[in-house]
Order: sequence, then structure tokens, then C-alpha cells
Amino acid sequence: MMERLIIDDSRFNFVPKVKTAYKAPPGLDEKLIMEISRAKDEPEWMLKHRLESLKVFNEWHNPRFGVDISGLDLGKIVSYIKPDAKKSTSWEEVPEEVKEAFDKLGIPEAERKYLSGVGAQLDSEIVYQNMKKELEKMGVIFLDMESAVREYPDLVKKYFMKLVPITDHKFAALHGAIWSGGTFLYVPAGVKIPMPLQAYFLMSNPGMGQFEHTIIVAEEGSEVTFIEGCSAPRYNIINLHAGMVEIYVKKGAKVKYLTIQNWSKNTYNLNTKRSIVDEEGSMTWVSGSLGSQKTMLYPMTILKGKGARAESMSITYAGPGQHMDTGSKVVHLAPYTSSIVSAKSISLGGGWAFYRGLLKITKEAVKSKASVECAALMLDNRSKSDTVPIIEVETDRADVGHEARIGRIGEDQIFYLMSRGLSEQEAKAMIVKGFVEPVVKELPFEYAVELNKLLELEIEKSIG
Amino acid sequence: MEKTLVIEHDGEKAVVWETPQIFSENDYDYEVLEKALENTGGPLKEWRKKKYQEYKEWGFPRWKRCNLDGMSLPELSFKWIDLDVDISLLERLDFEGAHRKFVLLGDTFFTDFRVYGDGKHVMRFDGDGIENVLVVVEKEAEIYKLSSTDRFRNTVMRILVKKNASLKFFNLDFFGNFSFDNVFIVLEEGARLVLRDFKAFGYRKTGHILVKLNKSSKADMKSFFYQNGSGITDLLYLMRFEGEDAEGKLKGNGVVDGAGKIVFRGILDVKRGSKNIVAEETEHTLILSPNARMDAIPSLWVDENDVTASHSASSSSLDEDELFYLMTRGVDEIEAKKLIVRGVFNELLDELDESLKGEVENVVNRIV
Repeated sequence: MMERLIIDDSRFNFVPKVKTAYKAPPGLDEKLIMEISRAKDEPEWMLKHRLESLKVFNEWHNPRFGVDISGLDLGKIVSYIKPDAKKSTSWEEVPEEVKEAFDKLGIPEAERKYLSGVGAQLDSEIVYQNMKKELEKMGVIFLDMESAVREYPDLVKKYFMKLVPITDHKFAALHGAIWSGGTFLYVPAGVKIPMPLQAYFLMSNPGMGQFEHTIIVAEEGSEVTFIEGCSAPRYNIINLHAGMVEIYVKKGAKVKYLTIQNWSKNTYNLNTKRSIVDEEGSMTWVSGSLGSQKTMLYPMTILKGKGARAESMSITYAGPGQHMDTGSKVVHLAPYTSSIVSAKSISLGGGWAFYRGLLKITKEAVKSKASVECAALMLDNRSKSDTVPIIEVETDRADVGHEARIGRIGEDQIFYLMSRGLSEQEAKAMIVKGFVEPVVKELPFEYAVELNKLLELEIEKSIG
Repeated sequence: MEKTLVIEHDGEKAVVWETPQIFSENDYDYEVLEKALENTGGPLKEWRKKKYQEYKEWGFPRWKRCNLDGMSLPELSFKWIDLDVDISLLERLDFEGAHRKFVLLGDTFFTDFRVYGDGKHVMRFDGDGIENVLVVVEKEAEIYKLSSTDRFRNTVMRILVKKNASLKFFNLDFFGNFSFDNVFIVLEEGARLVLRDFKAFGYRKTGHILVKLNKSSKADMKSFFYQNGSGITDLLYLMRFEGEDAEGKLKGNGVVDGAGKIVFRGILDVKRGSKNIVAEETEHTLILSPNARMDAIPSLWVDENDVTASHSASSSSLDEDELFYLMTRGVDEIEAKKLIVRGVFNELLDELDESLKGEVENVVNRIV
């Protein structure tokens, strides 16, 4: 079982015989891929990988579940990913609603331009340089993915798309072909990184975060917290985000991955995140999905070693026009493994929040424990909230439980708060804040503040 | 036609998995239909013909969780059926079932057709067969259906419980190689339903029960299941709320042993406008063997915020504390296990009519 999950090169030679749903946009061809690879000065194996991926992408079918992606504009990808393409747009092109949100969140000028894909590098260079020195002393490799491919080719090759093979799904294949940017983080055995690391510092190119590839390798006994993304809205140049995260948690290591996704409301967010955990290792996901028009995201944890642990806390927000299809996947492959999934969703203003999860306890996972808890808050009856957790148990010696509930904000609750002097909007915002509190608590201070502000803003927009 | 899953929201559709189909040369063809028509009188004759047109367009499903490898259709013998059935009512209560193919199979090639109204009715179906049942409850009815299958059984039931009427329905289904149970129940305003569903043994046993709840109606449903050997039981219970103040409760309890597998799907589907409803579902499976499996897919589909809806699903092995307690009381381990397993089905036995208790008790005895 495990060989199949980790390294199996034959999978890459796989040519699927499935009816093509649609062809790649004209121009997305081998020639372009070779150009990209040359511009990035990549080793031969990476070029080969990209070309294989392109082949799979061209022949693979669309996902057979989830959101309707017929509105996806793949045509724009070609001009966007060309090595000589001018990546920045002008500030004028940034949608009003995004600018407005920056204003209300009080985001500084430089950061605004960066978030909207207009500005160049952030003023964080000095902070980053200092941090880099500290990390180097500990033997930590913390690089943007392009540099890592050039400087540590063997190390990258060992892990690159081994957890998520290109045949995983159509957009994994697309990612494999045109990935760009992202982070490579290698933590040597026994090293405990005292501060959370942020992807933020490494994204030097505006807009490059749309097909980013992130690899985290936490060697035996190491510990790291990684923060991806920002809570302020990020404007997209094309309407697709297809990033990928692969996390390798070795024996006794601990990784915590925090992410707040807030892509602008024109984006299709089709992201893939996966982690594999060895003996006594521990993986924690904390995710907030707020932005995008449509999202399909199911962070997966494979508990491979005895006593491995997984925890997943997520909050999904579906506002007007949004269709969010998210959920956690946990696969227990070894004895004494444990997992806790806590998923919360809020839908309002006609939004659609869909929880789709998988919990699988294999025959080998005796004495394992797993629990899944879903809670949904619907603020009005124009919205929709669906919950479909799939639970598969293959052993009689495991303890498995699932619970879900749909909550309402009762008229009486609102009335009570209003009688205490709050406006209807403030009352609703307060109830929502209480609901998301357990997730917000996990976030670093500045993110927590921003997330709370953002929720207020969103609620104001959809109620007011 | 009442579809099982309709996943859309304000014109926005989700992509839904489409079950691949298998078209077989051995499927019933026009020749079999002719034999059926020769034995049918009244309005059902035309209906059969019409249903066949749709039937032949469908293949048999290739399900992921319950594969039907090795299934073959039995040779059918038709007896003369001439009933004055309200075809428009049959059409009004048309539904998708476990798979559209099986509902159409029941509608086209039934070897038995029953129509029931108020009162107490006991149905027995033994051996192989394809049955079609229509029930219309005006005031009050009690229905007991006992199926004991040999090789193949397919049942289609359409039940209408009229305004303020009440129905008590025991659906008991044992043994057999392949059996498919498709039930659609409509509860009109203020109607009441008590349903007890018991499925035990069998190689492939599929149950599909869809209940539509209109305003102020009430459904109290309990599901009991047992599987062992290399058998698979695939159950789906769907409560669709389409009116205010309705209440639906579903409780599933069962045991899986040997290399058996249970698939339990409990769906609560709350349509917009069903204000102030209560929807609850719980499911628990006792897994007795290291090779036994359970898949639980509890789902909530909610379009209305003014509701109370919850579901839970769990699995466990025999509780060691419980066993230990019984053993300290002088019960040996095997006896203690038997007691615990029997406990799961006691609730069903307690509610059963005296005249049927013996038969069901025999099945439970076979389990323990």
C-alpha cells in the first residue's frame, strides 16, 4: 500500500484512456513548457516531469463531483505563464471591491499593491535576511521553489509530486505542467523552529502564487509552524488558482500548517494539499477558506506510522455567489493512530457551503481513534449548507464517531442582542465571531485581527 | 419522477457522480415483455408497454460500494393480473429508487401486483420474484411485509399516506442472493408514519427508502441490519422535508460479522420553506470481526435556516467493559456476546405483532 502512495515512478508513465472533457487551450503545448523550463534554468528531470504532466492534463477528465467549473477560463493561462509575459497589471485594473476591502482593513500601501499583484517586492527584505541567517545556522533550507530546484535538485526530486502524483486529478496534472513559485522548507532532524515561517516572504513575483508548489519536509523529531497566504483579499490575474502542498512529517516530528485563503471573488480555487505522517508524528491543519467564487479543497492526511496523529480545524465561509466545496480527508494506515476533524461553515446571502469529507480506517489501523465534527451556521434561508462525510471502517478494533449539526441564528438571539443596543448587523457579526472563535484562536495575532475584521466586512456587505 | 439527489442551489449545479451502467445481453427483452402482456388485463397492460420503452434504455448499475458481479435475472413466470389501478397515481408516485433500472424492472416485469388500502395487511414474498405494491392510506393502516428471497428479488412500493392518516409499516427482508427493495412514501399534511426496516443476511441486499414529509407530518423510522459471510447490505434512507413543522427521526442500529459489509446512507434533505422542522438521524454499527466493514455516509442537505437538523454515525466493537460486567455476573464470554447482539434487535422484537414475532425471532436466533 505504502509504496503506491509514495514513490512509484510507473505511475508517471500512465497514459489514461479516458474521454477528453476539453482540450488544453491553444498554445499550451510542449514548446511553451520547454520555454518555461529553460527560462527557469531547470534540470532535465523537471522538464520531463512537466511534459508528462501536460500529456496527462490533455487526456484526463474533469472532476466527476464538486463544483461546476464550466466558467473556468483556461485560455488566459497561456499568456500568463509565458516566461516573457509582463506579469503585473495596473492598479486601475484591480476591482473596486478589493480596493475597498484594503481600505477598510487598513492595509498599508506597499502591501496593497503586493496583494493585488501589482507591486514588486515587499519591504520585508531586511526582516527576511535576518531570519534567513538564523535558519541557516540551524541547517534549515527555506527557499522559493525555483531556487530549491536549482540548488538542491536531488533533495527536491525525492519529494516533488511524490505524495500527489500527476494522475491524481486533472488539475494536479495541470499544476505539474505549469507550476511556478512556492516554497521549499527542509527542517533537519531535531530542529525546532521557534517562530512561525511565512510563505509571504518568498513570493517575490507578483501574481506568482497561482500555481505555487510547496514542499515541507520535517525530519525526525523536528518541529515547525508554517503560515501560508494572507487574510486580506488577493486579486487574481487569471481566474484559476491551482496550487499544491506536500508535507512529509517524519518520525516524531510536528508540523502545523496555517492557511487563510481569500482569493478575489472571480477565482476558481482548485487546490491540492496532502501530508504523510510517520510514526508518532503529528500534523495539524488550520484553514480558513473565505475567498474565491468556487473552491474545491480537501486537505488530506495519511497516517502511515504507528501512533501518528492528525488534527484538522477549518472554517469555510460562503457568501453571495460563492460555492465552496471543502472537507478533510484522513486515512489511518497504522495501529494507534488518531485523528480529529472539526469543520465549520457559515453560509449567508445565498452562498453555498458544502462539506465533503473522508475518514478511512484500514484493517491495519487497530486501536485507532477518529472523530469528525461538522457544524454549519446558516444566516438566512437564501443560502445552502450541505454535509456529506464519508466514513469507511475496515476493522473491528477502532473507535470512530461522527457528528454534524446545522444551527440557526434564532430570531430570539438576534432580538436579545438588539435589546442590548446592538444593530441587527452587529448582532449577527457577534454570533458569527463566537462561532469561528476556536479557529481564530489558533491564528497568530495579526491574522486573527484581520480575519475578524474581514468577517465583519463580509457580513456588512451581504446583510447591509 | 422523484429523483434521489438533486444537488443544486439557485440555478447553480454541483457535479454529481454518475453511476456507470452495464448493458447485458441477458436482460429481459421484448419476448419476455410479450409474455407479461399476455398475462395482463386492464390499465396495467398499457403501462407495462410504456415502462418498457424507458426500461430498455437503462443498464444495470455498476456500484462502487456494492458490486453486483455474478447477478443474473431469473426466469419469470407470469400469472394473470387484471387490476383497476389508478395509473396517474402510479405516475405521480414515480421515483428513481436504488437505481432507476430497478424501479423500471418492477414496473415492467412484475410477477405480482398488490393494491392495499386501510386496515391490517400481511404480505409474504418467498422464493424469487418481482413485486409491485401500491398502498393508499385514507385513515389508518398497518402493513407487514415479509420477504424471504432465494436467488433474486426486486420490489417496488409506492405508498401514499393521506392527510392526517397514519401508517405503521414493518418491512422485513431476509436472505437471498440478490435483493433490491425500492420504497417511496409520501406523507401528506399531518400524516404519521412508523417504519421499522429489518434486513438480514443475503449476498447483496439493497434498500432504498425515500420519505417525503409535507407540512406537520411525522416520521419515526428505525432501521435494523445484520450482515455476515461475504455479503454486502447497502442501505439508503432519505427524508425529504417539503413543509413546515414536520418531524423526522431515523435511528439505525446493526451488526456486521464475518467478512460482511454494511453501507449506511442516511440523508436529511430540507427544502427551502420547511420552517421549524426537526430532522434527526443517528446510526451505530457493531463490528464483530476483523474482516467486517462499515461505510457510513450520513448527509445533510439544508436549504432552510430555520431548522433543527443533526446527524451522527459511529462504529465500535464489543464494549470490553460491558463484556467484563456480564462475565462477572457469571455469564461466559460467548453468552455475553450473544446477549449484547440480541440487545440490538430486541427493540424490533418488542414492537412486533405476536403472530409474527416467532418468525422474526427465528432470524434473530440465527444471527446470534
